[in-house]
Amino acid sequence: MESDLDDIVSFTHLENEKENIIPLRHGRSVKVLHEVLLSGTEQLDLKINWFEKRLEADRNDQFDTYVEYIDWLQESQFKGPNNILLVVIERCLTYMKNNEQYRNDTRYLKIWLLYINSFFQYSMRDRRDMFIYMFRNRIADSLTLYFIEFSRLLFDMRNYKECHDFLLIGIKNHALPAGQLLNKINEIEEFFQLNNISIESSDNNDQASIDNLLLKYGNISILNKDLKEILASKKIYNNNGSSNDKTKLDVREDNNDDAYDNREDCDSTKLEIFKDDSTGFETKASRLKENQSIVTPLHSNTIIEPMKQETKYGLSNVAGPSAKVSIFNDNIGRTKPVYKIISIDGQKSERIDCNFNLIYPEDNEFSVDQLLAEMRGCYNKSNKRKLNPSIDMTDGKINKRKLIVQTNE
Amino acid sequence: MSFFPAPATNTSGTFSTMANQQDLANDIVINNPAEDSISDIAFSPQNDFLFSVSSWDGKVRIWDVQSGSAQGRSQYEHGGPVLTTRWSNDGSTVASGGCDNTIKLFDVATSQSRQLGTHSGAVKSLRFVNCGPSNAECLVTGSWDKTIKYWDLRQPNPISTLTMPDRVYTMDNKSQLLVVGTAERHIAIINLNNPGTIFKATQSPLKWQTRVVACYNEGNGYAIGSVEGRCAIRYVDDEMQKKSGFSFKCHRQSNPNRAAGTQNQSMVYPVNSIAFHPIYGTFGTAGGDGCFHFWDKDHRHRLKAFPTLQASIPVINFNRTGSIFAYALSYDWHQGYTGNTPNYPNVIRLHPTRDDEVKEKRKK
Repeated sequence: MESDLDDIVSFTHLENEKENIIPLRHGRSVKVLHEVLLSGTEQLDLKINWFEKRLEADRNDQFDTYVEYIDWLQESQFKGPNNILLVVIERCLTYMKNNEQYRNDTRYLKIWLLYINSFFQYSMRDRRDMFIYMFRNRIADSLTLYFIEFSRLLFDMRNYKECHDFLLIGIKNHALPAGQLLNKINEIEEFFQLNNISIESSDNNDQASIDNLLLKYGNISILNKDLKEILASKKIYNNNGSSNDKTKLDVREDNNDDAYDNREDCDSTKLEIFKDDSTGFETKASRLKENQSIVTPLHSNTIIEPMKQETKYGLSNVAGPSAKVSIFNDNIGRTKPVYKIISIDGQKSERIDCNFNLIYPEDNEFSVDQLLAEMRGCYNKSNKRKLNPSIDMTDGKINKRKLIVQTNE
Repeated sequence: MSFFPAPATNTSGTFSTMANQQDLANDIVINNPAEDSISDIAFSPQNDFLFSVSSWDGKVRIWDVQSGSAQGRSQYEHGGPVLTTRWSNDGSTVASGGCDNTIKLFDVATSQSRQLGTHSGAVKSLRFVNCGPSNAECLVTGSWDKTIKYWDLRQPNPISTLTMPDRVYTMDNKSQLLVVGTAERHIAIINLNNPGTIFKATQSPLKWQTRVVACYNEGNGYAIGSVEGRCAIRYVDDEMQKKSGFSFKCHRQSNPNRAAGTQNQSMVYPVNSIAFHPIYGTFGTAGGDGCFHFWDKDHRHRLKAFPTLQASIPVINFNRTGSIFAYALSYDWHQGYTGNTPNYPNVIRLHPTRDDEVKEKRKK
């Protein structure tokens, strides 16, 4: 009974933050939230460090740690995906990209989906490129979830035929669980019938259909390669290859570092493509292009006009006066104004616009007029300082002499 | 004031203590009245529109604004920068003193100047006073040689020399009161009925260097302005001082563009000059911020604040009726040579005062 009471989490701490907590599909642990809200940033940093150390410790297989790490980050960074999560996920994906062992691991796919859906939610094009990258690297190619997710995106992009074809590829790959995939296909076909959308399945060859799909998008950036070239090489590859699956596995081996040795055996173009694949994973930062416009589906009654080119502005900016570069600085050799700052307890401090170093040199005091007179050479403050009123006469003479010198000038 | 342009109509109709540039639009501006910074301005006690200006260029110039535009009447030279100038009570003589340690007299009628006498240091301040039991007019001069000297204008030697606690920075008189402000914040009060002795030696209540002292018209007290943007209102009588003496902050602004996270500071500027209105007894202060303000010490409030003119105001003065307020804009060296730039303005402006600016307000 007592232990049960210990497990009960007080909701008072959550109360202030509850609007800020982004829900997760699988729900959130109140206990973790409670811990996170009670602990400061230092403690969170400690935990992050702890994970990082663990990652360093088990170099052989970091995947389990990554899964745990990412789960924890998701739970603790309750305000939504942030940069820490992004960095960790990208590290994980980079680490895992050549790993055969977890290629069809659901947890691995879920990290991919988390990555795609959290950080590329505003760009369909980026999401599509990601899915294609996965497809080319045969990541999760026997998991129904992957096919469903990709087909959903294709559906949103209104590429109905590709969507349908892609689900068929899933069935062909014997993706599991198969039932869901079939349900999905039925669902889509029903939708097509209702909306009178015809899919001409002209070619039963799934490979060709995905190639068509790829062709449709023109050049795909993740490969850094012209797509037509890829497809051309693929045809050669298909003609050369005897069995699809067999050669595919060979290609996977080509991705390894000793691929260079195999180069003689294989078509050089083909090899290059898959080399591109292995290095083709771009982080979000490198994908982020400054002038990228977000691609959204067109709505009805949208007027499509040529994009406005702001060349005029650019030209005027170059030649305009605002582009002036200051070469000479008038301030060189001049010191900044000297201020005296006086702070009084309980009041705001005062900054006196008067150079106290000048008017109070070494426990002396001079008025600004004296300073100016000294600058003009008609007053010598060091002499004056020692002046004793009792020896007025002698000093008067000295001053007279000085006066003559000055008038001669 | 016939020679000033018609005053700008105040469209709002309500009186504000904050003046704007419009209020300064009718000022007569004399650009580059001298080749160097202005050190002092004095009006003739007999003529509303005649004033003398001493400058660091070693010259004293006499200006006339009778016609509405300033015209130079005459000028004479010193052997060094001139620090101070005043008129004799009959308006016939202009006296001046400067860094050449001499006191010069200029006869306005004949345009002849002559040397009256010398100090062993630069003559910083001078006043025509009526002193002694005979109430005879004489000239008192204060110098950086730590003395003040009384002069009969007809005699080459001083009537009397009085040793001050330190170098004389500033001096002022009204009726029988002569107040001398010196270095190290000493204040010497002299009763001109007994000019040969210091009536009372005291220290400025302000923490930092004294810039200026100015006596009240009643001759019962004086105001002190210091480098740290403060004015002290002082009375000679101890009882009166307890009752009415105070000091206040002025010539400061809160820094609008301070960096985030830094503590809020107020920018403080030296109070360079204080002048009392000869009729109303209110007074103006001017500072290194380029602002001048009018104050009422008895009701302890500000009558009018003027916007900054972006250059330090070294000196201000009223004419004999208080209808003209003259102020100079020139570099006063408070930031050393680095603050001096070739295009620092050197200007005298004459502001026609209005009663709503300088007259004390009756309590409603």
